[in-house]
Amino acid sequence: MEHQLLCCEVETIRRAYLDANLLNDRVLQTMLKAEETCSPSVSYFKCVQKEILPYMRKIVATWMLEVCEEQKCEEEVFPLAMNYLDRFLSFEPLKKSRLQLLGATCMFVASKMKETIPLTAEKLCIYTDNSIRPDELLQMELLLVNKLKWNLAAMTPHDFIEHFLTKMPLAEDTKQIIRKHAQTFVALCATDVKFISNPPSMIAAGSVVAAVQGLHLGNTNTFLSYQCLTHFLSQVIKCDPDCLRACQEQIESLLESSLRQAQQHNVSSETKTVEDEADLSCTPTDVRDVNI
Amino acid sequence: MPLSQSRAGQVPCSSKVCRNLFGPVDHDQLQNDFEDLLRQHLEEAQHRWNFNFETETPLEGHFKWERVLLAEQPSQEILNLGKATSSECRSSLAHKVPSKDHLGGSHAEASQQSSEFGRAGSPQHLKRGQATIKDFYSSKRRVVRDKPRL
Repeated sequence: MEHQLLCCEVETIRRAYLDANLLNDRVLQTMLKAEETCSPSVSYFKCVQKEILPYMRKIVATWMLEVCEEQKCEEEVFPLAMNYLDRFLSFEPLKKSRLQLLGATCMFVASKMKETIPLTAEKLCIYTDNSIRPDELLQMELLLVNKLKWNLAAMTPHDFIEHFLTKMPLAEDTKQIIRKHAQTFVALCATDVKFISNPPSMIAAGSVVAAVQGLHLGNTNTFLSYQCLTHFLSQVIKCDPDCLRACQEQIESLLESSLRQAQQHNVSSETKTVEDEADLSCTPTDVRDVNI
Repeated sequence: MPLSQSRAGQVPCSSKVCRNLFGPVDHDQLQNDFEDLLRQHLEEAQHRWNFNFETETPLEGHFKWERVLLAEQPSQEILNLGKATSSECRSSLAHKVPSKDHLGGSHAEASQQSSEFGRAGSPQHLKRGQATIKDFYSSKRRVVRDKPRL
């Protein structure tokens, strides 16, 4: 008999099922309380930083998102890394030339928190075009976790999206497409300074509304109609429905301006992130058609 | 998500994602700043815990530190803190009286220091009555939890 080897490895990472015991109201209430403890200061550009300006955050965030996408990181890694970055910058003035080191370190730690096979220091250094060294990244890591007081398990909007979807009476495939689109919006929000002041629950709710709107799901399902959905989600996160709508409109206008920018940059082939991002979602044209 | 596969491959350095965003990093200055900041953290920890973590000696202050000799003394390799895998500290120390004004917000430092000492979660069996850093910290946590009930 000939020896034959059968490769049973599959392409996808195996995941545990979502734990229904963790998707209940008790947990959600705790999360809503906990999200405030890990929120960055809104005014750190004015009050703490001397060299770092809002546009630099955009540059480093765009790069971080590209790295996460190229390395096919879990969706949560990028928003979590941005939470670390903002919180560090809320405490510690930083030189402009070290912002990329900080960004790389935040991805390094966030990846360790969320992934079974985390990003390596060496790989991240290569992505900085070797402008930083692995030992510097490791020292920066120590500094970062010290500054964050080891509070690394910050909430991300993704955590809330799962809770919302659990509460919504929808078919699984509908949930999946809403989840995909909402996650794209979450990543987009994390790149933009205007959203630092919004807690993760608000970003999550705004992103879900924007996703449902973009997919025109409200036309066929009364639960997903604009009024009904914003009312429902604002109750879930205990906020004013108008605040939620304002957030959702802000998200949609961010998408619009990002797409416009991407089209302008298309020729020069720089910063195609937003388009790449749109490709992540199943039907990017839907999102685009509504907003332009 | 084909995570392992994509991670296994080499990073294409020609990729447009590989880029230096804000100019060259001053490595020497960075090294100096790191040393300053880490020293600053060490001093803060020393002040907070009235304990010199470099020489491992207690100082005067709120906490009363007490040396506990363990039956199984881990070897000197623990000195190399970064690689410490053994579970107990070289000279495990426990304190008796947690002072109240230090209770709030000390949790973070606790985890920080337990990592400096190497993981405290002990697979080895401890003799009854002996205390480790872990015992010290968990007792602090208990006190915090019990406080509202008192």
